Amino acid sequence: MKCQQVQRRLSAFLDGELSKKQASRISEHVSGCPHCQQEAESLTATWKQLGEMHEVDPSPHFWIKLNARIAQVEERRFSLERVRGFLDRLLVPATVVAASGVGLWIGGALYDVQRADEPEVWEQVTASLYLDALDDFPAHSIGSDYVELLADQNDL
Amino acid sequence: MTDTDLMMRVKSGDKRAFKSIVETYQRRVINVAYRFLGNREDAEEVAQETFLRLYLSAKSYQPKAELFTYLYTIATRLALNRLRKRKRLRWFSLDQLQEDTADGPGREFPSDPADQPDLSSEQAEREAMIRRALDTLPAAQKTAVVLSRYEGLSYKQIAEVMETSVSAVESKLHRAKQTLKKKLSGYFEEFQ
Repeated sequence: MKCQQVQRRLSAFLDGELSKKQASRISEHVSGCPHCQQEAESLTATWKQLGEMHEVDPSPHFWIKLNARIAQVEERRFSLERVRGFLDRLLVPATVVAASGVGLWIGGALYDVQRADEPEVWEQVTASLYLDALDDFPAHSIGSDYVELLADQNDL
Repeated sequence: MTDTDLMMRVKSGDKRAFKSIVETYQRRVINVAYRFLGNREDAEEVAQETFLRLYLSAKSYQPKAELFTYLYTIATRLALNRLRKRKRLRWFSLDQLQEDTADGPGREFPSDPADQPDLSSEQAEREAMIRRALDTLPAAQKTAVVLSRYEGLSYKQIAEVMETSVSAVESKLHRAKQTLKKKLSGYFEEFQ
């Protein structure tokens, strides 16, 4: 094995992460190579130095604080679920009312369109558009021809 | 009772089972966060958030991995996020900028003296040096070092926490150790 290959796996070797076969190959190389031996010692020392850090203790109120936070979140969740439940219950009647409104509006519009063919409705339409004002056009003028045309079409 | 048994109880709303999990792991979770943040108050806040998330997600808990793997995953992510936020805040803080100029750059977190009242000044200085060296590592390398060196996790367990491969963990630790060796060797030689 070459030094470069060994050094790439030296860290895993020192952490005991290699298979027996791999570890024995590295170990064999390191014991006969002063350079790799020095590298292994230096990595071991570094790793040891890192351990010189103290630990902290949890505060004595850790659980009490956590429990209070859980209660707070659960309360908020419960309120949201109540609002959602209320909206869910409201959803069906609101949809029915909205659908009925839309249906009535469409029905009314269709009814008006259908009745537009009836003569009394046509009279109402011409009255509302002041078409009577066109009656007094001179004979054979464009206006009187137009009125005759309309009359022929609608049997007025 | 195993962690899985306890979590199954938590899933069905047993708060005593959850308390038992918290009591078992609170120290480990706080210390993982502390290795990243260097401040006890922040570390405890991260630990609280970690357990809160565990509790709120208990209903969807599946015993696929060890519970501590799950806890470490949440805690390291929360700690790294907090560290990122802190960096952004520092960027905009003129006071901190002045402090940096006086202290030298590269300190992500100053050790809070209140967290280490019993340490001698020599020990405090050693710790500060180690922290500064750890701060120079990229987040993923630092996570691997914290989980390996301080939590004693195997490469496979670290890979699970970091959601990566064992060979990626090996490579991260190899590079991290090389960097730390350079950063720390001079200091400790001078110190001894």
